[in-house]
Amino acid sequence: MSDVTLNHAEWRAARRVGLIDGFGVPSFALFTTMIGFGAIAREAGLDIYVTVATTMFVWGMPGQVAFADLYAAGASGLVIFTAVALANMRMLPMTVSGLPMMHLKAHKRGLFRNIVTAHLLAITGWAQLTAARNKVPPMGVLPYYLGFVSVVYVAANLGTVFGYYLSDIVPDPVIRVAVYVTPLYIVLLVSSARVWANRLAVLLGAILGPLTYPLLGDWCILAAGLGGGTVAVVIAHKTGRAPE
Amino acid sequence: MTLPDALVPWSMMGLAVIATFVWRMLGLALADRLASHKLLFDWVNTVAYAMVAGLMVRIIFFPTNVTAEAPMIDRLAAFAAALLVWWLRGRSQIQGFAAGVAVFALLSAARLYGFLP
Repeated sequence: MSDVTLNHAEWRAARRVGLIDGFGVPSFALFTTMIGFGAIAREAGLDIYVTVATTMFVWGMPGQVAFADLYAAGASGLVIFTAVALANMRMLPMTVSGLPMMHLKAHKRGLFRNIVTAHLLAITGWAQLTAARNKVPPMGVLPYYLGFVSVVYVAANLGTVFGYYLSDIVPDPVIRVAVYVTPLYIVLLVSSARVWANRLAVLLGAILGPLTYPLLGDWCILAAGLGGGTVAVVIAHKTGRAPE
Repeated sequence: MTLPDALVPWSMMGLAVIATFVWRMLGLALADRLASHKLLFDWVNTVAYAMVAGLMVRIIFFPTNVTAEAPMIDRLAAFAAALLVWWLRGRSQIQGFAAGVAVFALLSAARLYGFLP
């Protein structure tokens, strides 16, 4: 029942399930990705404080990389703003689809906490929400998610610091493997979506993204998202395979 | 208007933070309103999935970071191995992931130690 509030023990139990799920592949993936970002940021000439603050407050890998790349190139503020906004635009559909699963209104937690909750939502946490629904009751999704993202958030920031300092010691091929890990992990995560329409959207987006990139550059995210997403939802609704 | 040098990276980072934050705030404001419009909500969902998949596969095919130093064939072979194992093992994310990382790491090591050009 989504309108029944959790007691203290139930809240903590759901949070513990999320904490445990946060360890393992998700933390490993984020840790290693952020090693890659730490290395990129150092090459770009950012100091350690700005580098860690970027992970903490941008909290979206593609936008972070765009920022570091463009900063190194001496791009203007307008260019940086536009590129990061484009690279991290997926936060909009992700929050729109992800936040209702947490029943924020029923939890009555106040605006500031809701803003923090929305800020922490990035690909890994968002993709985990579907799994959360099978593991905890509907009202437990929020504490599950908070437990999960807190582990992942700490791992990512540790990875950023490690990457910043370890890039001299660790040979390049190791860093390359580390950076390769995250997109691969996320592709598998979204490919395993339960809803048929979403799986079709993943397939179409995965084709359209790289296909339109040589032509459109970073705008290919829009082509993949709007093109793949629209075709998928139309096909699903026309063939009676719309989500329940 | 010129900023003191020390503030330039911070202000640029601030722009990157705002550029990301606005999407999340917009999402927070719209989430409840959209939830009651079935078709619209389904569409936003498929757009999110397609956008994430498109971006991630683009990064694997055309990386802009250090992964770009690895040959395209290595990245594609690892990606194919991950998908194949994921599919054959009943969509096991962990097994597919492990297969992809293993293939990529082996190919990188083979090149590092001169077994491959």
